[in-house]
Order: sequence, then C-alpha cells, then structure tokens
Amino acid sequence: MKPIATTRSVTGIPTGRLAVWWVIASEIVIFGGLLASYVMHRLGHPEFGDYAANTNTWIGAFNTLVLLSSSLSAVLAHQAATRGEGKQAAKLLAFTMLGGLTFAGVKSVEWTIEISHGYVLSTNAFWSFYYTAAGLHALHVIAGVVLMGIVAVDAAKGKELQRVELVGNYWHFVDIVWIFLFPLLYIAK
Amino acid sequence: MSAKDDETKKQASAEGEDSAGANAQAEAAEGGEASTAAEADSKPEAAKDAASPARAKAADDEPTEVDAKPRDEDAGEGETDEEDEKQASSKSTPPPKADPPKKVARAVSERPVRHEPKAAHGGHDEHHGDAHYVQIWAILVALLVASVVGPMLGHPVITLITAFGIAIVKAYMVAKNFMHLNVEKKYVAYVLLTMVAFMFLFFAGVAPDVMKHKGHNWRNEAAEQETKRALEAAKTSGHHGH
Repeated sequence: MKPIATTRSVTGIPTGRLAVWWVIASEIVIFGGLLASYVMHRLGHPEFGDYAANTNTWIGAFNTLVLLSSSLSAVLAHQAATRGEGKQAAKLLAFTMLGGLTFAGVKSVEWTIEISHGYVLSTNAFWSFYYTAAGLHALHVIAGVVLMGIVAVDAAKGKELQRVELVGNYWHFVDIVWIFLFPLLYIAK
Repeated sequence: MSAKDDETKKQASAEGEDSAGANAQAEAAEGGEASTAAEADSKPEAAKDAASPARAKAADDEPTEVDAKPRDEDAGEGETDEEDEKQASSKSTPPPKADPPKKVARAVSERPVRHEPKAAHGGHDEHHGDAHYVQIWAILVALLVASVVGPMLGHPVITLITAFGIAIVKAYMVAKNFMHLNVEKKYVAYVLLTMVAFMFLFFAGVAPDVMKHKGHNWRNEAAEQETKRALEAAKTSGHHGH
C-alpha cells in the first residue's frame, strides 16, 4: 500500500510535493529569522565589516558556483525523471550529490583555516553569526546529499521518480539560501 | 439518394472521425486521468506527468480530486457519461442514420468547453528543454561574476546593487525556473511569500532596538563600548570595513 503522500492530491497538487513546499516555507522562517538578525546587527555594528574582511570571497564565490551547478544538475534530473529516464535521473542526482560534497569539503577546509587563525564561534558576534548561519546551511547541504542518495537509488530502478522533483525543490531552496548568505558574509565588508 | 444527401452524409462522417480523436483526448483528460490522478505519484509512468512542471501548469484544468468535482457537477450528480450522452442527444435532433461516432461527437460538443492542458500540446516541458536550463545556469553564473566584481569597485551603492540586488534576481530566477514556481499552484507562492513577510515583520519589530544603541529612555552601553573598542582595534590592525 502506498503512503498517503503519494496517493492523494486534494489540494490540487500531489501531497508529497505540498509537504516539501511546507518544509521550505518553514525553512524560510528559520533562515529568514537568522538572516534578518544578522542584517540588523550588521547595520547596527559597523565593526562587522572589519570582521567580514577576514572571510575569503573567492572561496565563497567558488562554493556559490558549485551550488548553482548542482542546482542545474538537479533540475536536469527532474527533467529526466519527467521523461521516465530513471537511470539518467539517478546519474544527474549523483552529480548534484558530488556538488554538495564538494561544497561541504571546501567549507570544512575554509573553516579549518579560519579556526587556525583564531576565529571561532565565541570570538565575537560576527563569527557567531557566521558559524551559525553557514553551519546550519551546511547541515542542510549534508541532509540534502543523504536524501538525494536515497532518491537516486530508487530512481536508478525506475521507482518513485516523482521524488526526484521533490528532493530537487529542497536542493534549489538550499541554493537560494546560499545566494543570500554569500553577499552577507563574504561581500559586505 | 440525392447528391445533396450524399454530401451531407460524408460531412457528418468526417465530423464523427474528427471528434472521435477529440473524444479520446477528452476521455483521457476527464475520466481516465481523473481516476488515475491520485495514483499518479505511485507509478513511474505516471510520474512523468506528476513530476512535470507542465503538469503543474495544467493543474487548473487537470482533474485532481478537487478539480474533478465541478466537472462532475456540470454533468449532474450521479450521472454517467452514457446519461450525459443521452441528455446531449435529446437536446439536439439526431440525424436519421446516426452512427456511433456522430453521437459521441455531439455529446462532446454539448459538454462545457474546457481548454486542453498545454502539456498535451507540447507545452512547458517541450519549450523548456535541457538547453533552457543550461541557459539559465549561464545567466546565474554571469550574475555571480558581476556580484563578485561589482563590490571590488569600492562604491557603496554599486556594492549594494551588485551584491544584494543581484542576489534577489538570482534567487528569483532559481525559484522561477528551477523550482518551477511560475507553473505551480498560486497558493504555494502566496504561502512562501507570507513566510518572507513574517521575516520582514520580525525585522521591523526588532531592528530598532538592535540597530540603535540608545533611545529616549534607554542606552545599550555594552553595544556602544564593543563597537567603539572594535573600531579602534581595527584602526590599529589596519582592517577597514566598507
């Protein structure tokens, strides 16, 4: 018996997709609150600009490129799933996962450098925001990679192809969050 | 049989053939898909439609459980297609030698006009092939380059536009083209925008206390001292924020 998320569409869209939209809506409140807090502190504390000068813009830009590219492969996976090409969708999801892992890898190297320079969570308010926002985002990236792995395994067998779109939508949201985090943490110096 | 009668029969026959195809489409859109819409997500084949943005675009016309009801009501509660056809037949005068295709054709024509979903005619999916998404990605990368290069000019207004203005454009492009919000049910966008509104509400309520360090009857001495200390330390170390 199929779960209710895949057998009902009383709201006009499949319930599974609706659930993902609700997840994204709640994530907007979580990240939105965090980003709004950062912005008001950044505007009230000019010294944040000096602290932000210690972040590496090029690493941030590279990670943005990685996430944008992984979003492309996620949407192409969705297109492949739409055509019923499960194996192709799984392959493209694997590319997306690779992008997520690259992002997390680069992030860990970046953090190692920053921590070795003495910039830790408790250094000051800027670094608290930096590690909290980027860390929460990185957790979402890791969660997305795990979810995509599960979806890709099924997709390779031609099963549950509708989930490719669902995990893709989540991934695009993670991408959007980074699109805002990048200028806030790396460019506004 | 006169030549005129012969011509009329030919015309009627052609009409029947044309409408047979239309009927097949109508059946697929109405009865067929309505019954399978709930199962759409559970089958890989059906996922082609369910996962498709075009499917979402067509959702206003497509027979989900909600949407299917009004169409049933049009036919009358508890009525079947057969009864619908009978009703339609009784409204118009049947031709003397009515063959089945003609009857179906009239039945279809009597039904309320419903536009075919765009996907059925190569709508969103076919227009937005893989190349389209690559094109969007290329624009996003170009915007990323602009958002990195712009602030290097050192002008605050340019920084604001290139960094944050471009971020908004990029986010919009991802939401519209990759998440397919433009073809999703509108209430989804409203739900998401409501959450964004909550963020602004939070900002409006809290920001005055955080952005200012003193007011008429209060003073945040800790924040003042920290800002003063940090700026002096930055001057000493040579770091200057913009």
